[in-house]
Amino acid sequence: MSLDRPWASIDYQAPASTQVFSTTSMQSLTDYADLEYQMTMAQLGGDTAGQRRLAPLLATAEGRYDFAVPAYLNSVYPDVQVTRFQDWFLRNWASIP
Amino acid sequence: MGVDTVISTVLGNPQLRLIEAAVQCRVRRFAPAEFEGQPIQRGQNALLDRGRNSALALLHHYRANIQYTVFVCGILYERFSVNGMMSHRLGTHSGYGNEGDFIADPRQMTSMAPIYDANQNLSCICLTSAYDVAQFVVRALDMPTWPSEMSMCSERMTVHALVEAIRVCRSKYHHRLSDERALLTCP
Repeated sequence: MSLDRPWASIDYQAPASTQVFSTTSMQSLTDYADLEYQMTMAQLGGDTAGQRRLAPLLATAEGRYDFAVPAYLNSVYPDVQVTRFQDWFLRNWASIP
Repeated sequence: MGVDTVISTVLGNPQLRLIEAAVQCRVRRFAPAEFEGQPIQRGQNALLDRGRNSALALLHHYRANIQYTVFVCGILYERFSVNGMMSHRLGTHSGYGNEGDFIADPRQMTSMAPIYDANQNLSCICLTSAYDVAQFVVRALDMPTWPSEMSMCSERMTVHALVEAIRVCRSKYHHRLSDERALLTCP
């Protein structure tokens, strides 16, 4: 039993079609422009659910959820112990195979 | 007597009415339903805004009457939650409140990973757990004055590191479960 569990499928928003990540066996590759294309198609097709799902993905690629760290409140209250993502995730998914 | 601080979790017209009511009742402070990225980063993008900018404009209009701040926390950990954000009664109308709606579907082990920005640099993301947001907001209530924006972050990482962390965590569990099953089937 290998420790390594691959994604069943992963769609990396790579910027250049030449860039290939070899971490998974079943990956398909799209680029940033592809994500924008999907958004355009969702807009043209009046697919509002698709637009709402794609908007945060585009925003993530554009770094819109990124800001300087240490963040303001972390600096003001350094005694506040924050939760590591891995710790939270392992706990949250503990019962799901 | 009366209400000192209102922390809003409603968007759109209900929030605008809440702000007006708060001003009328002389509430001292108001935290609008932000709890995401910096407002300047979403700009006028209506899909990201969802009525937030009009709430900020209204609070700015009443700034002589009511203090306000934008709590910036990036993306909530709960977006990657079992049964989605909705299981925490968050993001019900966001369009990404269900499990697997954002970046990774850990149950199906599929991912749509926006790892690069338009300049081909690795994209970074700030993430905060709802619990940590609560910790910081509670502390901020005691601040003598509120700056216009207050950021907080549990962990900042590249999107690539995020999907890798999710994969590794799912692997760990998968591995442990297989071990347990093997032990159970041993004579």
